[in-house]
Amino acid sequence: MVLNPIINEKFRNAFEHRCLQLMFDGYKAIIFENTLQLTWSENDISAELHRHIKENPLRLKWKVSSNVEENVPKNIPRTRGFADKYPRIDFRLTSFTKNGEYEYFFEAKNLRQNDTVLKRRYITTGIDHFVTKRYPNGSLIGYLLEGGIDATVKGINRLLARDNRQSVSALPSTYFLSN
Amino acid sequence: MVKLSFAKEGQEAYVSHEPIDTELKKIDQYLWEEKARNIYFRKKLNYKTGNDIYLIRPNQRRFWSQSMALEDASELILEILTGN
Repeated sequence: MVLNPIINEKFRNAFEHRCLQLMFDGYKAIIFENTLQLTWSENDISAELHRHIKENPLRLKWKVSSNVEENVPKNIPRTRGFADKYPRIDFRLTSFTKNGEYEYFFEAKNLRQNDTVLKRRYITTGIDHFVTKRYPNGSLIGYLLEGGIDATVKGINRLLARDNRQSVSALPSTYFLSN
Repeated sequence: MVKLSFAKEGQEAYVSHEPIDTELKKIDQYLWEEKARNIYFRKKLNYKTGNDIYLIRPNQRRFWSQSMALEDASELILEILTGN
């Protein structure tokens, strides 16, 4: 017999909730400090977010370790240059003890309402990498630098529909943070 | 031994008077791990089934201290997260 899988799922959801809380708190701190510039790259925004995640006292209380730009090791031949072929993900948060750790990942993508290239990139190098398990469990973050949330989400979903992928969709705007 | 049960509503902790000494003695035979010749370590056991988790430890104070409980809790949470 094993533990009821619903219980495993509840614990994983609780850890995910903590990771999201740390991310939301980081975002609110950036907005409060008014440091964010709309010309920043994804990595700039992620680095600033991560600085706030590291400083959050809840992270220490919950014993969550975090780092940015993490390689996700895959089972590929160990020949010269193999590390460059590893998928690289923007955030890695873990719960750990001396016996092991549980990882949760965030990938981030810049978005602009009228930029189809960015929206297409959000799908191909964001959504698809989670769907194909190139990235293990985690969440995809969109840094919306210009335009409205609803229109951008509709734009992404329109591209997915054009690809006949109605089963996959970006979330409604109720799941989004805005300043 | 302590039994944790997951339920929709919380319940008060209580002491069970079920006779389980014989079973615990049987389990104890399997909780010794030989690390080297004549050196044995006592292992802890977390048995999970359905909505219950049984924490089985030797009847020694060091296994039932508050600090050990905190360490056990962190390890148990990780076991549940990773599905081990």
